[in-house]
Amino acid sequence: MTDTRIQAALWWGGVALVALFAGERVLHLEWAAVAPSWLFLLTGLGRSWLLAVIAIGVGICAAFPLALLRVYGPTGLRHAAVGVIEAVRATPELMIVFWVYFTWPYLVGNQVTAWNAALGSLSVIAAAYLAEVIRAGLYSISVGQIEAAQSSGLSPYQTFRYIVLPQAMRNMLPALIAQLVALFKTTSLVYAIGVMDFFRAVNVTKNAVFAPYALYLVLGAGYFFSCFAITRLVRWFDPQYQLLE
Amino acid sequence: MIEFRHVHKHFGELQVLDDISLRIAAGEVVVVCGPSGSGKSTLLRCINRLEQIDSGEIIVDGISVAGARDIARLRAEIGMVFQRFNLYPHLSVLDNLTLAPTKVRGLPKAKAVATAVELLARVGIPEKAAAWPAQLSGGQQQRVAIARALAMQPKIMLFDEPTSALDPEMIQEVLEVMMMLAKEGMTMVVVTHEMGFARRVADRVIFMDAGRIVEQGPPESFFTQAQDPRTQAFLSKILSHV
Repeated sequence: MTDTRIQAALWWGGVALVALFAGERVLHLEWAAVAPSWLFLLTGLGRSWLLAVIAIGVGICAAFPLALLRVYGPTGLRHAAVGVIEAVRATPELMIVFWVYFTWPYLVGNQVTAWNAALGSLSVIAAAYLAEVIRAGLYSISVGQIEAAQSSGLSPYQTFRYIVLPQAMRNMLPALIAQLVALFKTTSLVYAIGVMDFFRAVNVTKNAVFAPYALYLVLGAGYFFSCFAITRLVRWFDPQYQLLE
Repeated sequence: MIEFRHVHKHFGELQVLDDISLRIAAGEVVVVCGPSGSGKSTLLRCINRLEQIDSGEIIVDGISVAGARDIARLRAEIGMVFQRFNLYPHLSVLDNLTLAPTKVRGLPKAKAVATAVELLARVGIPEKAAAWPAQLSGGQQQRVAIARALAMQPKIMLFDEPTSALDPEMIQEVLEVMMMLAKEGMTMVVVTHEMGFARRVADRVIFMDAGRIVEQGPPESFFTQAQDPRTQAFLSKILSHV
């Protein structure tokens, strides 16, 4: 047997053991009490996905200009971009949620719904973190690539468009996956301002039917499979070319 | 074709080009050699403004390089081959060759592909058109890099130590492509330590040290009757191990 086969055998053996001992107890958890809430829980999970997808979408759209300004921008704008990115990254995400929901309306004097505050704060968080992922990707391209492109007569824009960007996208993929997974889990913070996302839906159900063990299992499984799906989805976009040594 | 007029350049305190004046005629093959840090790569890279000069003037094909408004247009006429090949790893060999002709020259794709296929045959690897750069040996990568530069139909070709990153058994295949180019009358400036190449195809060999052109001449006299002791010392070191 090869090493990987032994590893696989050990792994599945372990899983089987756990299933044998824990499985029986898992089956006898309070599933009957939870079952009627399945649609409510699923709606919560859907809301978490909607939050994540919109926040990531808006975040990426904002992250590109932020990263480009930080790397290529003129001094003033570069400093502004650094300021925004670092301010967001150096403060707790939960605090940003609170700021957008409580402080912002107080300062500007009009109300924000919890849902909009959730979208706003998550988008800001996504933008700052994704900007850094993009920046790292841009920096991963060697000077030699840029010199080769420019010496062949490509303009700076063409060099960016055809040489730097495609390679940067590829290189940033692992960090991007990690960041998207982190962002999906960050959506659970909106629980604190009353948005009925998956995290809150599970807790509300728990308080209603008192089935904590079953529900926390559902909670873990929901986030686990969501993050797993994100990983698979992004991998799907991976251009399959080999990198040079 | 290329003219340096009293060119100076320094990196901080270090004077890398010290009052360089030089004329290279169309069709001439010039080999630049010298110890590392002598400024030979910088001299080459100033020709297409990968490096900016501090003072003096460089004229390429009648255009002042420093003052060129549209530097990309001038660069399109100057092919460059790098020590580390610098092929685009995310593009196939064929796309490496067709990118600049289609994007810079606006050539129709079909025409660019036809030229690319022809060039790959000329550098001896017609079967590699669909390959990725990472699937090629160093020698093959460098031949693709030469073909890529030629795809723009440049008037001048610059070579920056094109064989220095190659395994010894692959050097010859790259030099042969360069010799073929030289025979066809391409204007070439080659920074290299391959003195065998210099002896066989160069019209002129230039020896640089500490940012200056110490000595230059046709290879016959350069290798046998070097005047300057620095040239003699360099040649004795570089030729003795062959």
